[in-house]
Amino acid sequence: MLKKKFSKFCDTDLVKLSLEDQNNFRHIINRYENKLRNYVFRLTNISNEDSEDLLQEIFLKIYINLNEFKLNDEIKFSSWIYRIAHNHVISNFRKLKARPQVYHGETNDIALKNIINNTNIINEIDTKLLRINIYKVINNLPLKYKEVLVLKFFEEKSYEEMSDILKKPPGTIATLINRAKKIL
Amino acid sequence: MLKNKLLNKKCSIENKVMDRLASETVTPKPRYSFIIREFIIVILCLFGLILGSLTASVIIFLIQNNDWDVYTNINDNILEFTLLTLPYLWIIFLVLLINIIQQGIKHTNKGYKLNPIMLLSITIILSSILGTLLFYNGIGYQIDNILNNNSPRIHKLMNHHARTWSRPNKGFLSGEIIEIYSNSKFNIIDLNKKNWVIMLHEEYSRNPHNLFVGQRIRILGKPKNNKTFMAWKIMPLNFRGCPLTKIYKEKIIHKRLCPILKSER
Repeated sequence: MLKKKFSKFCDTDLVKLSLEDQNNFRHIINRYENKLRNYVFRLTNISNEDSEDLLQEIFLKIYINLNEFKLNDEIKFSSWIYRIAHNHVISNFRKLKARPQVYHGETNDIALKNIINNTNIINEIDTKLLRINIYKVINNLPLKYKEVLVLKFFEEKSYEEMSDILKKPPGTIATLINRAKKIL
Repeated sequence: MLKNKLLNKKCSIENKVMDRLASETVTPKPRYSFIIREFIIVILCLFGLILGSLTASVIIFLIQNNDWDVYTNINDNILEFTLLTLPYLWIIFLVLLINIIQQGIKHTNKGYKLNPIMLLSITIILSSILGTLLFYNGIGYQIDNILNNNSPRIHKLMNHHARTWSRPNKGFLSGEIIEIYSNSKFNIIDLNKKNWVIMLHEEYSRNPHNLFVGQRIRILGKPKNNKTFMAWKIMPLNFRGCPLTKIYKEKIIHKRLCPILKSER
């Protein structure tokens, strides 16, 4: 009943309510848990346990910095929350001195279709072979290309949202996607 | 089944996070901390811009006062001369500052949306305009002078001009006139704080009657001994870009000294 009531609220209202009462923050967690879990998985290849820990830290960070979003309300809350998740994943890997790897456990057919359609080479190469190769290629791409591909094709974010998440101008995002596609 | 569901719920991220928030008494950072952070970044960018403009004024001063009038005495090829005498250390410092300003702007709330090329162009243009204004107000000269007075070693490193004119053995000497004995003999203190008696060479074509105490000059010639330098060309040092007050003061001294020098003649 209560969940239904809160599901009608927009993100900005939930932020306001969370700042008033800590307990309301659970509704933000509910709303974004799966999305962020998938994003973290796609950007990394860490174990389930590690990703849970990472996710907990991400939500703690989100709560601690809630007032920052209130100051910067020109961007979408979802973009802001993805930005925090992205920065946390990157800094976590920097700490471990390891390179984030693309998750290759679960096949996301929609995302793969998106990439294949966008590369326009579907007629030239066998689709199945392409799928296998795409996983390998994405995995070996430099981080700057990998993160834009994940956001564009797996998270289906717009250029504007990607610009807000990665803190890069939209023009740079477009260039990175084009280069990544060329490499693919 | 129900037990499992309850256990799952207990272990869910939502509950874990909420438990940690309660047990660690986590509170959101206050709003003002983000405002202060933004303010500090903007102040640092402005400070960087001011430093960049000061650096640009020194670069303009050093390029303007490069030895264009006697470059043939230093190097036959003007391109080679230009490349050899550019103030590289100051230019590197300026590039670093511009980079810091750009990084600062990128870290502001909306700065990352700006086109990096446009941002770079604006920073360079602003630094150059402010640097030119500061140069015309004598700031470039002042900074160079302060560096010369306080740390001559660093000054020599940063100022190619100072290095060039501190080689009496090669025929390049510069310094400040401290005493005038006669029309063809005077005393200077060079950039290494060493005293030199300057005597005019036979080949000296111009009569240096416009020299006065306190004037900074460059001398082309050759050393006669450890203390005496024979000059065949004397030129003013660092005049373009001097503060207007200094030029005015030098003109006053000049006016006062001219009758004395003339009577000596």
